Amino acid sequence: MIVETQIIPFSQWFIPALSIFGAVVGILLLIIAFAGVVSGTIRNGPRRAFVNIFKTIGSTFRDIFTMSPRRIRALAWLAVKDSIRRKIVVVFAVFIILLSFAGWFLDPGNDHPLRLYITFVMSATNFLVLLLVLFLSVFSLPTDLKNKTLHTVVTKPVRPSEVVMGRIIGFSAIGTFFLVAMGLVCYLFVTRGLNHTHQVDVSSLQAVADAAPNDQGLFPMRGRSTFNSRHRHTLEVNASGKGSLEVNKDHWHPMVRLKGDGKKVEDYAVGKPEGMLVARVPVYGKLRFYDRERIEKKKGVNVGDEWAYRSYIQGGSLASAVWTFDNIRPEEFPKNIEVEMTLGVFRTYKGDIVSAIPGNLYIRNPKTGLTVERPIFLAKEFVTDVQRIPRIIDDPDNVFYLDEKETGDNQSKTVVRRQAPPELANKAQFDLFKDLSYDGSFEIWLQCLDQDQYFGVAQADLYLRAKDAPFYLNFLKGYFGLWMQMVLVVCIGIMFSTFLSGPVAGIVTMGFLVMGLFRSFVIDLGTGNTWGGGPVESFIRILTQQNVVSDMEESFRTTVAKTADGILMFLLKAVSHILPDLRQFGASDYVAYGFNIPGDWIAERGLTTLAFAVVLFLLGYFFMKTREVAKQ
Amino acid sequence: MTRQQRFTRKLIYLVIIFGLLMTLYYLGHPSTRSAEGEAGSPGGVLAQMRTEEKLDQTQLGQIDPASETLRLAMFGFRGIAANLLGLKAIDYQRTKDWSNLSATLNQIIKIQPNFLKVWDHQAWNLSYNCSAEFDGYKDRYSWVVKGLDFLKKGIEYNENEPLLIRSMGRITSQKIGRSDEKKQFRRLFIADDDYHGSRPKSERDNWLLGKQWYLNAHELVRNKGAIRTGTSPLLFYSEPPMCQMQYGSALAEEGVFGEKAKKAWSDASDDWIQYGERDIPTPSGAFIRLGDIERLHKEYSKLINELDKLAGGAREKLYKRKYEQLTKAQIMAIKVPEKLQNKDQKALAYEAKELLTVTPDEIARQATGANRNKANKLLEKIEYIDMDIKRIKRNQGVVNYDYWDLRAKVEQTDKMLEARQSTFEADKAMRQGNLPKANQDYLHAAEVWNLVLRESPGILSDKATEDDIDHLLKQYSKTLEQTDELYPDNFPLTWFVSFVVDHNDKMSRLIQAVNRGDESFNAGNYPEAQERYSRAIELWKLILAENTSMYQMSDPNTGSRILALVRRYAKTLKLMGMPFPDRFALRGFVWMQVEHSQTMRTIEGAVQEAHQLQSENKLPAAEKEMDKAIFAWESLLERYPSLIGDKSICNKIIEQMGLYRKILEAQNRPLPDPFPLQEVLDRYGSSK
Repeated sequence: MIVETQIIPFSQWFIPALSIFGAVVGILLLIIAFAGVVSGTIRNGPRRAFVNIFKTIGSTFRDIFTMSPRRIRALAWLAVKDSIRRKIVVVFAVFIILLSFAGWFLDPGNDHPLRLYITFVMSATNFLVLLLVLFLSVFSLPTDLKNKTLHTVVTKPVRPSEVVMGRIIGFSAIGTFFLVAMGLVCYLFVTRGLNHTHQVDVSSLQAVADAAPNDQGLFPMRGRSTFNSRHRHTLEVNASGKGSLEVNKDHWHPMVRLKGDGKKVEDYAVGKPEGMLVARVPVYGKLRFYDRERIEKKKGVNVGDEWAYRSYIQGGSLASAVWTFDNIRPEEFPKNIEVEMTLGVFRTYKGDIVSAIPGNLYIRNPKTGLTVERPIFLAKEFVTDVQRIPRIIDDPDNVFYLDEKETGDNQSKTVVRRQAPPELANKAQFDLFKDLSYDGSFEIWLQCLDQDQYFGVAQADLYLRAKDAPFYLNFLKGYFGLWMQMVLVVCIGIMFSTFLSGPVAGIVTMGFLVMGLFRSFVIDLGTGNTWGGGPVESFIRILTQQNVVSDMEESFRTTVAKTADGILMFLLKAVSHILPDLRQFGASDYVAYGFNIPGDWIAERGLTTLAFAVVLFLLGYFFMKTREVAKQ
Repeated sequence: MTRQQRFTRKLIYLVIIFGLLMTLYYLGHPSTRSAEGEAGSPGGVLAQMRTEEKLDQTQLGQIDPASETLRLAMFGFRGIAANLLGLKAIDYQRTKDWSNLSATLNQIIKIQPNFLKVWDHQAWNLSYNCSAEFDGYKDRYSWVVKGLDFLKKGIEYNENEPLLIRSMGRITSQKIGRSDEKKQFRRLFIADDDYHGSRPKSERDNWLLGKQWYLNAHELVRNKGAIRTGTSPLLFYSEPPMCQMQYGSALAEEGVFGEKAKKAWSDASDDWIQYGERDIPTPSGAFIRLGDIERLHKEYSKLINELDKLAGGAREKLYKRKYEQLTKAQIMAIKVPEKLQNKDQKALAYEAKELLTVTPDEIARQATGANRNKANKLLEKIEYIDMDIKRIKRNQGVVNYDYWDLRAKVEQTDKMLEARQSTFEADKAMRQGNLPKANQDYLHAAEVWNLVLRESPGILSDKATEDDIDHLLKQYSKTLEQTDELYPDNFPLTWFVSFVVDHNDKMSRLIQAVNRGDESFNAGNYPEAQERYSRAIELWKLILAENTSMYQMSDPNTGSRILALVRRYAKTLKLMGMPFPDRFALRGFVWMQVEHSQTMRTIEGAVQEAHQLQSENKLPAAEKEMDKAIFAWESLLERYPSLIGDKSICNKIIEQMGLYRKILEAQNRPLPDPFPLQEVLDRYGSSK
């Protein structure tokens, strides 16, 4: 999976995030207070203004901290009933219809079917639920105000804070209900949709060359399966009858020869797909590079790829990519360590077209420098290749030391290879955790062996695979991400609906939703990092059919356009910085690529959602309080 | 508003609504068919226009319910959606997210199933760009097939579009048959049951399937009135026969000869002749037949003869008059053989040739009396035919018509098949390390190639044949290199090497440099001569790099020319009192000749013998052997004066002279004075 931004551990994230949050909220409160003082001074004079401010602060504290859970529950239930009255079940019907016809749009021949299915179901759920809660939240309060139904509420001893909180909880409950229902349906849709089986294509079976038969004279066989669900597998079955359909489209099937001589289809039983619905728990290391003179670098070679995610190491040289893994506990890896890697391969010349590029892995103790070499492997591009490192490494091909040293100019580090003493070089077994790691840390070195060919890697391209988490739990976590987005949209919608009419609040919330989903693009627009200038300039370019690259001619019109753009872009930049980045809450990629959503992610996003919800609730409360109806 | 007014207003609304509905019905009601499929109502104006312009969905191809649903659900926003998806697809490709890329492409085509360029471009993108991103050739192949599958789907939705069918033909034939991995791709394509389904293996050749797709496109244009887009008719109709030709070539590369290969080329020849007989429209609107040129030439000659008769010897008179008007320089230029002409002479000769041309118009004007009218009529015909000939020739050049015509005929001959089979067998023997067989087969192939080329020199007009022979020469050179031999004296393709070298684009500059060098040498301007010769030697180095077989003397005459130049260069340097340069451009070539010369063998034999005799203390006999070696070295240095600049060879000489010195010292004698190899000792230090 592509991980362009690493998740920061919660312990490192919390304090800086809290201080930023405190600063933002503080500034916001100061702005509100300042605005209150100014408007109060204009209307009633400065003394009265300050008195009113203090009174407001006092009543705010009272409204916030003496909210009645009972009244909130009643108001939330009112919101739910209001929603049911609006026939929201239609959304669920739309969802079911969408899912029923999903098969038309999903390509079963895709190389990674799970990715396709998960992306589809989670996007469909997300958009439907977001739109649902958006419309519910923005129209509810204004409609009640218009129909005067809110007056019947506010004549009761209800605080404005409770009105806002009740709506947030009520609509969030509706959204939650829909998410749960849709999640259940989606889970069934995905698991059933991807479930399939094959039969053995007996005509394709051939005895493995140079293999010995078993007691009954049966040979190990190789062949292929039948073509089902737009794919087939190659298969291998050993002499005793056990085998598997090899990995294709991210899964494999267990198979066994049941009876007979294995010449009939019925002689074999093929199991369900395995390895597809997984939630890998990757343990990432920290990546550094050595160039071909083995000088340490932060990045490898750029081979001219437009996408600079991967850095490359030159083959047939000392260039290496090194991952350092810390805090690895032996109990997490009882038998062996599965290293999963996805390499990029760059050839400077075609070379041997048929053969893959060979590579090598070393395991190094970061403290002592003791290094053992693993057997050579052949690179598989765009595929997750699994290399198993046993806890006890028997008879390694090569044992030596890689000693860290400063370079001659003391500007950077290098490593120097040193022969291991004979007793180590001839040692039969090496314990990964005793000999090759120090305090739970060890290094994995990757080298490309083919002269002038390159391997490309990024930090997340090589990781240790710990015990998998349950897929259903990961699926649930993915839906938790959607839930957080839904709550944010509810809060934004309610906040705007406290002072805007329904349609206007709807448009503004929709704007926030779109900008939140494309926040990075909006930031780029605001900071002028996109082609074609600001909105006015772009509009002129469209009308005059000018390309986005060349500068506009110097004229009065251009000056006006650029000045207007400057103001608009400043506003855009200011808005973009307080927008919640809704994409950050999307975790469908994790589920789709079969990676466990880390606890840090949940905690950080959860707290972020809470922070936004608190601020939006407070803003909603203030706006509600300023409305006439609430004062009565 | 009164009740009456309200009623009137409603009535007006109803009338307007009815009027609009009727207009809408008149314009837009669909055509109908009975349950038996018989034509019913032709539909409204728009429906009729759709039918006329072949834009009706049912006329475009199959209808996909998913696509239709999506398009309806888009409410006219599909253009925007397709653009956004297009941008997403570009981003997925940039970040190498292949599964999302193919999923996004599937979404785009659901939205715009009849946008041909999307199908065409993205199929090409999948088969060419995406496949090239993968390192494993099997992955690359699977992406080529993904492109083909994509196009197949496009053809289902757009059955009457030759553009997509041609693309299918192009990818099937060219991508699979011409990639660097063609050997593997063709093998995988034949074995691909999932792609071919029930198609028998014998019908799975990519070139033949490609040809079939091209023919399907022709069929659509010819019989269903489909519009040909994306290429000129000339190329459009050349595609199937070219596929057949490539099929023949592929068979030879894969070692399939005999009747199958013969049949492949015979079919190719028939297809090409058929292509030549086809009426092909040209941009001017006139139709041409590429195969008509011979007939037109005959007719042209006949008419010219008639015209000449009518004008009674006017041609000769006109030519003579024109010749007399040429300048002296022009006359001199046309007398110089074309190969030896310098740039100015070439220009003058061209001018002269133009001036000497007697046109039919000039001849016709010479006719008098009643013949004048006849001549004018003939002239009209001649000009018309001449125009046709020129048009055909221009178009023939585009598809290399004559070459492929001849090639298809020659390739089916037994000799050609034998030549190719011998080369194939030799390559195989070479790979297996069976040098004697490889050597023998290459030589045999060269003999047969020689016969083929002598009989049909026209096939040398295209680089493809030159490349085939070049491959043979390179491989044969390798076997000779391993057996440490030079080309045999009677190598049958010596003339071919000479031909290729003489037609090298650097040759005219080289000849010019040598000629000017000679002129300067004869005039005693040695610095100028040295510079010119140096330039010529550099050019020879470049030519040799393109014709590596020359190192092993595949063309002794050309080799002698090079060595003669080296000697002249050495002589010039000597006259200037300059030493021969250390880094001599043709050092490798010269050393190869020296190494394989009889003299060198004599030297090695003599030195070895001298060693033996010295160890047996037979000093006078050893000295005699060394004298023999020294004499041989002296003659070698005289024949190959550049050796003096070759440090490694001179070190070898010095080493051997060390032995000579020891032999002499053992007899209490110094080196003779003058010593024949003193120049070597002076330049590189004396032996010890």
